[in-house]
This record gives sequence, C-alpha cells and structure tokens, in this order.
Amino acid sequence: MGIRCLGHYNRAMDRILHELNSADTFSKGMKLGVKAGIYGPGPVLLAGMIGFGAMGHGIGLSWLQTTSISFLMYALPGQIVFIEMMSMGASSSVITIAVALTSTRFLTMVLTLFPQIPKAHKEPSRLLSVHLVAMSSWAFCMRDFPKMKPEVRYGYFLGIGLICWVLAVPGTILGYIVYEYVPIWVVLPLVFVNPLFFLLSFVDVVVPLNRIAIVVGGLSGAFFYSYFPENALLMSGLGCGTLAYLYDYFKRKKSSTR
Amino acid sequence: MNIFDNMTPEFQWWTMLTLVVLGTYFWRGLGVLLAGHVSQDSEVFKWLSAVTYALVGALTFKLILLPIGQLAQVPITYRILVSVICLVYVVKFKAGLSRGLILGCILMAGYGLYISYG
Repeated sequence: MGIRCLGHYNRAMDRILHELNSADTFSKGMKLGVKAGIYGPGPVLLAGMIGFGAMGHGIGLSWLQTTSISFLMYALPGQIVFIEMMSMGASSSVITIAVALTSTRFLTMVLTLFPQIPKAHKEPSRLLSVHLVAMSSWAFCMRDFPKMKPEVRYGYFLGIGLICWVLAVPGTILGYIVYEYVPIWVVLPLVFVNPLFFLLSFVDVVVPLNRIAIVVGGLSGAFFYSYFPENALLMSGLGCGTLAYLYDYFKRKKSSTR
Repeated sequence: MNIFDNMTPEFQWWTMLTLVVLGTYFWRGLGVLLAGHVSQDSEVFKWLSAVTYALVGALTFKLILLPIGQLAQVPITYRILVSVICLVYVVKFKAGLSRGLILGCILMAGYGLYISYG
C-alpha cells in the first residue's frame, strides 16, 4: 500500500511539472502552485505545525496564543525560539533579538527568489505576499521556477505559499487539541517532529561555513543551556556564528594570499 | 525603566508577540526592498547566514538533548539514537526528508507504546 501511495505521489508531481511547462497565465500558475503545495511542502509543514501546536500546549499557552503565533509569524524555527525562551524566562529584548536573528534567513531567501519573478503592472503587493515565504515553499519555487515561463512564476509562488499558510492554522489547532486527548505514543512523535525536521534539513546545507556554524552553534548551545538558559541561544547564535564566520574569513584570506 | 513593568501578563505577552512578528517580518520586507540591488556574495550575507545556522543548530540540539514537556520522559540515549538512525537513513540510503521524518516518528511512537504497555 505504501509503495502504491508513493507511486501515486510521484505521478502527481510529474503531472504538475509537465503542466507547468505549458502554463501561460497567472491563474493557471496559481492553481498549479496550490496543487504542488498539497503534494509537496504541505504535508511536511502540516506535520511541523501539528508538532508546534502540541509544544505550545505542553508549555502552557492557550490555543489562541499558539495559533496566533503560527498565523502571524509563520516561521517555525522563530516560533519555537519564541516559546522556548518565554518558557525559560528570558527578557523581552533578548527574545526579540534571538527571534529576529533566527529570521535573517528570510532576507537571503527573498533576495534569491523575488528577482526571478518579473514585475507586472497589476499584481498583488509583494510587501504583503512576502509573508508567504517559508523554507518549504522557497525550496520548491527555486527548484521549479526555471521550468516555467517567467510570467507564471508569481502565481505559482502565491499558490504554494497560500496553501501552506492556510494549512498552518488548522495544523496548529489540531496539534494543540491532540496533545491533551491522545496517548503518549501519539504525542511523542508530534513533539519530536520539529527538532528532527531541522536536523534532517541540515543534510542539504552545502556551504562549508554554514556547516561549521551548525556544529559549533549546536554543541555550544547544549553547553550554554546548562549554565545560562536565558541567553544560551543568543550566545550560541551571535557568538559562535560570528566565530565560525571569522574562522572562514581568515581561512579564505590566507588561501587567497598564497 | 522597562516598558513591560506596568502591563498585565496577558498584555505583556501580546506586546511580545507583536515585537517578534515585526522582527520576523523586517527581514522579509527588507528582502523585497533590496531584491535586485544587493550581492548575495557580500561578507555581511555570509556572516548573517553563519549566525542564522548557528542559532538554528543550537535550537535543534537543545530540543533534542534538553527538552521540556513530554519529550523529557524519553531517555537522552534513545533521543540521540533515533536522531542518528534517521540521519544515517537520509544520508547513506538517500532517503528523502519525508521518509526520514516518518522513520523518526515511528521510532518515537514505538517508545511511547513501550512505556504505555511494555
């Protein structure tokens, strides 16, 4: 049965990619984006949001608070940093800086994605639609954009982005409800899915500097959390991330002077 | 003086959420304004991505090694073992992210069943 499901999934994705070649309007691009979102990043994002809902409940937030975080922030790592640091009693300024730093990846993501979309006279505001940029939808758009006509790309991005954003809210609510009423063997996978998702997505990181930053940040984080739980994330991110950058910078400089 | 001093805990929480939402949106909005104007090979970019990856790395290790809530009931050795098995499955056997996640969830559910009925 699993193989049949996987076969169906692969065929559906192939069909979408095939249709993308011939799509020529904004609305067709958007429809295909919605389909690709349902088959591609949607399920992974939904699982992450269910896990986040369960975490929010475990930490003691209300369902409205937990859902509002998913709806308004729509950035899983930042969301988890936020509720983790709140539960550790970190100060408001430290939490804001840590969350803002976690979100810096959006700058690089938008800077690589949006220049590929040609500007049209009448198009939804990019300052609003940029809220739909997330790790999952970004990866799919970067992969599929070269296969489609440029004028279809904005519709495709909006389709994938909107379906994933829409899934985030029921996913969070479901995780919140499930945490209370289901046995522990259902709860454990739900609360483990997010750290595992981050860990497994590190496999795709190819830049050596970023790989060093992950290892140094991760190991130092485990150490700092034991002694300075309130500021550990900031110390690891800003401190060890900068150290990793400096190491890479001087290494590059040294090899260029040879 | 801290601006949060005179607020109720509920109002403090929503103010905090507003700040972090703005902090998150800032980078997305800045990306739209700068798109097509800034080189992705600049040193500032390299530094920012190193800081971001270090932060997410720290968060991931913390959630696996020092969790709070129900996950803390699972022994640390088992949490590490499941993480390593899933990593090896994805890297060595070229299984995708989704399959790695499914395997991790099955292993965690297995432990949950063991402590419930074992």
